[in-house]
Amino acid sequence: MTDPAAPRRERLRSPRLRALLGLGLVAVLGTTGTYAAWTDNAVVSGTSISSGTIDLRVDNQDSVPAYTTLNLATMVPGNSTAGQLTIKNNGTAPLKYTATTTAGNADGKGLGAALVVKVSSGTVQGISPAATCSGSALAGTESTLGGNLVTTGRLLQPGATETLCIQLTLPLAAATSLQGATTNVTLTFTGSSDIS
Amino acid sequence: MTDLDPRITAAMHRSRPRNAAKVAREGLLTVGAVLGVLCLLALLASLALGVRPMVFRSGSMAPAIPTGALAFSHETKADDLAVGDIVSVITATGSRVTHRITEVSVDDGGVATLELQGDANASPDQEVYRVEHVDRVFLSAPRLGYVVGWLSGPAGLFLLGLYAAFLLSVLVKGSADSTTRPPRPGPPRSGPPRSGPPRSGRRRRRAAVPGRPARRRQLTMFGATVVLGVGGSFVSVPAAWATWTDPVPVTGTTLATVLPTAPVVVCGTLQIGSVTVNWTPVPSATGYRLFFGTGGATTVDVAAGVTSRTFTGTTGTFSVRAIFGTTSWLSPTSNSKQYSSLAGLLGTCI
Repeated sequence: MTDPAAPRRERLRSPRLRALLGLGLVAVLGTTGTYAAWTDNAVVSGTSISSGTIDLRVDNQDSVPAYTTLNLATMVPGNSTAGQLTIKNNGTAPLKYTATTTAGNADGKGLGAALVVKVSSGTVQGISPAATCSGSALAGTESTLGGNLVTTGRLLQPGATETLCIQLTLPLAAATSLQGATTNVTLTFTGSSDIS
Repeated sequence: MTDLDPRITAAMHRSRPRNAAKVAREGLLTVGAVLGVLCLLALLASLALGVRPMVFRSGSMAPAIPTGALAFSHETKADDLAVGDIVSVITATGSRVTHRITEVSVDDGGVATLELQGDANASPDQEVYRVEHVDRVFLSAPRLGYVVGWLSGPAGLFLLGLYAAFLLSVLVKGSADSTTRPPRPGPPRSGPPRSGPPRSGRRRRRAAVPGRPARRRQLTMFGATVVLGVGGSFVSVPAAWATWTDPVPVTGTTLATVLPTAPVVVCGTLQIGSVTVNWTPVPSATGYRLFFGTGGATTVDVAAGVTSRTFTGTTGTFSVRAIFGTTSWLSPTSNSKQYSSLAGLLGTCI
């Protein structure tokens, strides 16, 4: 290419030039995914592509429409109710699950907000209205209804199960305005393939 | 790639200038150069237009974008977003999620609040994303992500490394067989001087320019370094973790507190010098508070199992309230009874 008389076509055929241009391919292809590994390596190591499915089950169901274990009709301050739920990853990919709760307040008395929740991995002790969950509350779980319950995602490998014990307590200090109050509680467990 | 050794190459050139290895080498160089130019053009275009490639590592956007797809997105301002767009956001945990917009609202500051949902997901993402601008997917190709993933894996990197080594050897030693030309004035060249058959016109012309190969080599190496550096710095395929979510609702739980009802007091046994009063038990009561004495001024709390009280040698007014759990939770006051149990007289209860 230092010869001004050389035809352009011949210059393009220079092995060096072609090798140089070929390096573009290496540069572009060789670095793809590297950046992803830097920012996402907590999600999936490297750039592997997972094509699994996740299927979260609670008590081996995709929805639990009539969970009455925690029901209490005539709570008084100090009463507690407890029940166990079995969370299962029925899919083929690992998942992390979280849980949220809603507590209805149709009568405006705010019973849901007054109840104290405990999530442990223990078992139910005693009987309603004095049933409790053994063990201490799990890390990353909340103690009130109407929002996050299991905030920190809990990892479940494919096929794995975990039993949670949920305890609801009406504190002794409950206000007298809560007499005759009712709340409908919904727990929603959400599995996510995002296991970072 | 066994033709990396210049001596072997030279020997091949001497014996059969058009042998298979040379054809392969030339083909590799030409195809590689064409693909390299295409890649660099794509790189420049993506840098200029803000286009970003993404590999889909899961299938929550299936069937629109299946697992292993390669997609391209470009940065879009919040104002231009609409429901149905597929956008890529960073979650609170720092991973990249690419889902379809199901709800979007833009505030005055140009910040959009996005609700996203994977096409294959039963529910929207739990996290609501607030963004000023976001990568919107405008093109996707299934399966190409697997190619990118493979090239980034050990086998792909090894092959690319071999290819790069081959290219670098061409760059550095590409003129090694030019040492076979007759010695001429100029700086010394690497490699042993050799004699050989006449070379192609191209090489002869290149060889006819003496001197400066070292400088040209430096320039070439500099160029190669720049190309690799640019590629390494800017090209990235962020893996798009199109998150699957699967919600399981647990419903049917109802909790209710007691609605306290008042006990009912009835007169019990009347005897000489004593009076017994009874009251009806109240469900869920954990105890009772008794009021008696003059004007009902005296109070005593008793356990839940107690439903009667006997007075001896006193008079007063009796009533009772049920206790629920705590002494601050009391039922309304029951009806009252006047009692009198003076010594030697038959007790009265009204």
